[in-house]
Amino acid sequence: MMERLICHLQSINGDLVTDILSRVDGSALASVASTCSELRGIARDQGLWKRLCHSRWPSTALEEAEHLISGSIHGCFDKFYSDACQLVLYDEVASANSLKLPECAELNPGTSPSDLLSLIDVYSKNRCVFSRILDGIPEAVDIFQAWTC
Amino acid sequence: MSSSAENPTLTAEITKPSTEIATETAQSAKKITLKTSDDQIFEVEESVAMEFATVKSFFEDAPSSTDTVPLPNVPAKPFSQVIEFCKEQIKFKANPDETEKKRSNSEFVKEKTNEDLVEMIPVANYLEIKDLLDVLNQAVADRIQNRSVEYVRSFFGIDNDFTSEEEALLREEHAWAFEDVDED
Repeated sequence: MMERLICHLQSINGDLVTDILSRVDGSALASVASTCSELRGIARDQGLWKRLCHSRWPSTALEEAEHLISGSIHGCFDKFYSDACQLVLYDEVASANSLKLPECAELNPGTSPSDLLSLIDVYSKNRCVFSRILDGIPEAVDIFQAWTC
Repeated sequence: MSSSAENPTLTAEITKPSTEIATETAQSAKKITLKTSDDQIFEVEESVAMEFATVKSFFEDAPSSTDTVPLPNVPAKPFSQVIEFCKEQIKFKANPDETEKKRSNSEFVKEKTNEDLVEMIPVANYLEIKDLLDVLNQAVADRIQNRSVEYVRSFFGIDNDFTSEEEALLREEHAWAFEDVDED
């Protein structure tokens, strides 16, 4: 149960809303962005999505990744976050929910593995211990060799 | 030794009891008079009023002022809750205890309605009470976490101004976000 409120948003300025939104996760930020055009504008703030990307995938904070994401023709950190959440990254989760690949994830037929970059974050005991950007797709690279260099 | 220190006070109390009591009250708790946007008068202890950076700078500019301080952007209802918060806060100034402060802050927001919280935010912002603003913004963030789009709309009192086509598109775009939301 919740009470119905009357247009309280108008009394809270944009900076305050941004501060509130900097404290929620990606799903909540997406919900807020879907409520009305005013909040959609505020919730598009790239700084908010950048922070979320960095905390979820620390490798996105590496200079090369940041450069790529912010310069992408497909949009910025908001698009990256949303696309990455839709991608089949975790096999069991994906097959259990029979997730379908979003259209944006389709690649040109001519794309070769060397056209791709892999953002890799290695976790140990819930802490990210290693972040690296590698050329190509993961199977083609020896991660531990990259680690030592 | 102690009797000589007590005696003058005692004498003064006996001879002029009413004046003594009045002076004592004024010394321990000087009151600041504040007027809200809906013309309510609040008499607030100076130590509490000094928690409001806006009011504090008013008195820094005019130290001897005894005027009523107008608060044109502050309605009485959220203001009384803000005072309640600041009264608690000054206890921790004299006696810092981070754990207890956190507990007290979460207790404060827990018993507030969504409306209370959202109404206090612009007041805390206008009065420049940083700690309270932080507590409120975090509380609002916690309350919209894992909630449906409809809930967030209702929380902020927002009207949906998207066309049904736009909304369908947003739903699709953000489908990943809506899988595990709590029931309203």
